[in-house]
Amino acid sequence: MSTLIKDKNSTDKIMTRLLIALTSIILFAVYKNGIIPYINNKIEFVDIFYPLLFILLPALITFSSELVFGLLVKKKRGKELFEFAKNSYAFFPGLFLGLICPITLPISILIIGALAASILGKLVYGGFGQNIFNPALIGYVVIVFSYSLFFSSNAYLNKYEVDTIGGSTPLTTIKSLDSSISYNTIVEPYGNLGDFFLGFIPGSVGEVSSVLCIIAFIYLALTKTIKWQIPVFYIGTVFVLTIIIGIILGQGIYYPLVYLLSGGLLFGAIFMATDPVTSPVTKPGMVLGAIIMGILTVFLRYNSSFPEGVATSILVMNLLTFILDRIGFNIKFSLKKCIIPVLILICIMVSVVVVSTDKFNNDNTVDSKFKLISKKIENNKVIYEASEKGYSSNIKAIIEIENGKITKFEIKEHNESFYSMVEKENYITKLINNASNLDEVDTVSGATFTSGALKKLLINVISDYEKEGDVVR
Amino acid sequence: MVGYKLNGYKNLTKDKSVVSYLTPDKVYIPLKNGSNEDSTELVSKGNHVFKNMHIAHLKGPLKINIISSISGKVIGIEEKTFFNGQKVKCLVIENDYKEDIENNASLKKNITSYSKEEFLDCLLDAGIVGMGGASFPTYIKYSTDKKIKTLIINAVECEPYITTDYRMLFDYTEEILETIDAIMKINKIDNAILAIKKTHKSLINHINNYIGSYDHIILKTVPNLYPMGWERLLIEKTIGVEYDKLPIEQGIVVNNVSTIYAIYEALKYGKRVTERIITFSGDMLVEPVNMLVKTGTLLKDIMKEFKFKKGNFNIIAGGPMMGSIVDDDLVISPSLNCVLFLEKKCDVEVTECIRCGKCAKVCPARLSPVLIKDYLKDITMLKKLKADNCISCGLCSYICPSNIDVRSYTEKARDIVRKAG
Repeated sequence: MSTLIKDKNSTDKIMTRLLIALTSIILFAVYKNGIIPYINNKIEFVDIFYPLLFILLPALITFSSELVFGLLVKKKRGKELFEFAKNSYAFFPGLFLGLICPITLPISILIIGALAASILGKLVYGGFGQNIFNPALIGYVVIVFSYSLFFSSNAYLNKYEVDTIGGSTPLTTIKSLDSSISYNTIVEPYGNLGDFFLGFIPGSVGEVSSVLCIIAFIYLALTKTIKWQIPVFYIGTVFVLTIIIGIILGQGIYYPLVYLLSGGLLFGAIFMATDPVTSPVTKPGMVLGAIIMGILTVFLRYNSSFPEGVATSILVMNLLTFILDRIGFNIKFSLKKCIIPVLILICIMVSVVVVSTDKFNNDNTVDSKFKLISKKIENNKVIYEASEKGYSSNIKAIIEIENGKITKFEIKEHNESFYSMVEKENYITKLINNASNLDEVDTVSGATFTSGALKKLLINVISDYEKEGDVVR
Repeated sequence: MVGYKLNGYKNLTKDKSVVSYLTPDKVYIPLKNGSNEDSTELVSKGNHVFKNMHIAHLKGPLKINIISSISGKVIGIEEKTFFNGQKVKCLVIENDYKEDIENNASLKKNITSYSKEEFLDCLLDAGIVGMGGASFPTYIKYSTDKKIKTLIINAVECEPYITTDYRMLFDYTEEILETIDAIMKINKIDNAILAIKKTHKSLINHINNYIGSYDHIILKTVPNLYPMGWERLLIEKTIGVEYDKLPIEQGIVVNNVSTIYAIYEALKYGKRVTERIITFSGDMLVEPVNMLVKTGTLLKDIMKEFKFKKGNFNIIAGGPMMGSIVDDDLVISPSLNCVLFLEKKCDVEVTECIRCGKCAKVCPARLSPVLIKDYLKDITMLKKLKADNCISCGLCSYICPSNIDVRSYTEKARDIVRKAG
C-alpha cells in the first residue's frame, strides 16, 4: 500500500517547471535570430517567427511519433493516449534538438533529426524511461554525422551576424588561431565578455544566452527539479581546467570565461546532462559523471575537430551511467576510500592540460598549416612558392622578394568562398605595403580566415627570408 | 541530509485538552503484540475478571502479559481488526461498569527506591510495550548486562497528525521528568536526553521551566524532518553514534514519552497498561481530538462520539506514512497512537519512473530505491544495495513524482534478502 499522503511534486510539475525555465530561452532565440535581423533589414517580417517554428516543429514531431508509438505498440486510445505521450515528456527531445541546432540548418534535416531523436533515441528502447542516451542528442548526432556540411562553423551565424561577424563561432576562432591567442583576437571580434554573457555571439538557436541559462539553473535547482550537482561539477571542472590552461598560456581570466560561456556548455550541462532518465541517480555517481564530462569536454575542445565537445561528453556520461551508479552506491564518503579515485582524476586532468597546452607550444615554432613548396634564388631575388590553409582550401601563392622588398604577391590557387571580399579591400596590396609591420594589419571582416591565412602566409615567408638573409646577400 | 520535511497537521490537535471515552459496553482485548500471537489464555468464557488483571500471556522471547482494561464477564473470543489491518483473536469482556481493580502488592512510596530486578518485574507485570508504534516489550530493553550510558526519550513524533506524546509531555511534564530520573537512578544511567522537534517552541519553553532541577536530563532539539523519530536517525542526530542492530550495543536505550508515562503509573500506582491517549484526526473529522481510551475498545464505538464531514473516507490506523487502511472493527491496542479519517481520493495516475533519484535522496536508511527496483530479480545486487535495511518509512512512495509505490518494491526486496539470509 502506498502512503496516504503524497508530495505535491508530480511529474506534471516537473514538466511545467522545465517549460517555464525554457520559455525565456526560446523567447531570446526569437529575439536574437528573428527580431534583431528584422530590425536591421536582413529578413522579412514573417521570418521573425522562423526561429519559433524551428524550435516547435521538432517538438511537434517527437510528440506525434510518441502518439503513434502509443497507438500501435502500447495500444492506448483517446484521452489515455494523449496522457501517455504527455507523461513521456514526448515534446522535450524535439524542443531541445531545435535549441541546439544552427539556425541555418534546413528544416527537412531538422525533421530527420527529430524523427531520429524520437525513434532511435527513445522508442527503440521501449519508450520513455528505458532509453540509455539522451534522445535529443541522439537526433543531433545523427544529423551532425549525416549532414556535417550544414554544421560548418559559419552555419551558426544568422542573417544579421553573417554581415557583422567575421565567419565563425568563438570556439572555432580559438581553434584556428593557434599561437596568436589574445583578448583582441578571441573576444573582440564578438564585442566584449558582456556579449558572451548575454548571448549575443554566434551559436546554436537557443543555447547561447549564458545569463538566461544561469537564471534557469537557479530556478530549477531551488525547485529541486534537476540534479544540481551535475551542472555545478561539470561546469566547475571545465572552468578549473581552462583556468589552468589559460595560466600556462599566459592568458587572463577572459580565457576560461570564453570557454565557459560559449559552445553550449551551460545549456548542455543544465538542461541535457541533467536529463533524469539518462543520468546517474547516486550522488557520488553524479559528481563523478560530471567531472568526467568536464575533463572530456576540455579534451575534445582542444584535441578534436569538433570545437564544442559538450554533446559527445554527455553521451559518454549516458553510456557510463550504469557503471557510475554501481560505483556510486558502494561509496560511503570516507576520505581514505576517496584518495585513490581522486588521485586518478587529478592525473587525468593533468594529462589533459599537458596535452592541450603542448599543442599550442608546438604551434609557436612550427606552423603546421604553412607549407613551403619551392624556393628559387635568382640574383638578388628570392622566389617563393608556398601554401597556407585558408577557410575551406589551401591557398597557394607565389611571392618574390628582392633586396628585402616584396615585389610580387600572386595567388595561384584557392577555393575560398569569401575571396571576393579580400579582393575588394585590396588586402594584398595592404599587406605588401605594411610588410615590415604585419601584426598591425587587421583581417578583413567577413573573411577573417581567408585574409588571416594570407597574412600568415606572408609572415612565414618573410621569416624564412630573414633566416636565410645572409645566404642571399 | 536524509529525510524530508512533511506538513505536520499537528495544530489540529496539539493545543486541545485531552478528552476521554472510558465506558465501552464491551472490550475486545487483542491476544497479540507485534507479531507475537503465541498466547495462553488465563481466563475462559463465563469468568469474572477485574480491571488491571492478567488475562493472558504471550510466550516466547518477547513474552508479555495481556491486561484486562475493565471489570466484567468474559463472553468469548472474537476476531477483530488489528492495527496492521489483519484480523486478530480478541478476548471479549462485557463491562459491568464497576471498575473493580485487582490489588497489586509491592508498591513503593518513592519510585526511585525500586531495585533493578523489581523494576524489570514491574515492567513485565504491567505489560508495558513501546507505545510509539513499535510494540517492543520495554523490559527487554533494560534487561541487559551492558552498562546503559544514555537514555533517550523520543518525543519527536515525526509522523504527521500525531500529537499524543506532545500532549502527554505538556500535561505530565513533572511526572515524566521524575520517572526519567527514577529510571536513571534504578539502572545507574549516566545521562538522559529528551529529544523534541525544533519547531515545537511552546513545548520547549514549557519544559525548560521544569528541567532545571534535573541535572542529568538534557533537552535536545532535532530538525523537523520525517522520519526523525526513527531510533537510528535519532541517535545519530542527538549523540552522533551509529550501531549495528540494536542501540544497546552502544549502551543506549530509547523510550517514547507515552511509554515513560506508563512506567510512571506502574511504579507509582501499580497500574498496568489499560488505557492510552490516541490522536483522532484527519480532514474528514469535524473536531479532531486527543482521547484517552481503554485498550480493547472498538473503533466503531468511539466513532459514535465523533461528527464527520460529508464524503467517503479511509480509516487509517497509525500515521499517514506508515499506517494501514483498516475498517471500523479496529481494536485499540497499547502501541496504537493514532487513528485518521482521511478523504478517499480517486486513484492517482502512476506514470513511468523518470529516474529522478528523489527516493534515494530522501531515504533515511540511505538506500537507492530506484536501483533496488531495477534489480528486483538479482539477489546478489539486492544484498549489495543493502535492501534489508529498509524500514518501510514510506518516504520513497511519498516523494515519487510518478506516483509509483516505491516502498512496495523496497519491502519486497528486503523480504527477499532477509529470506536469503
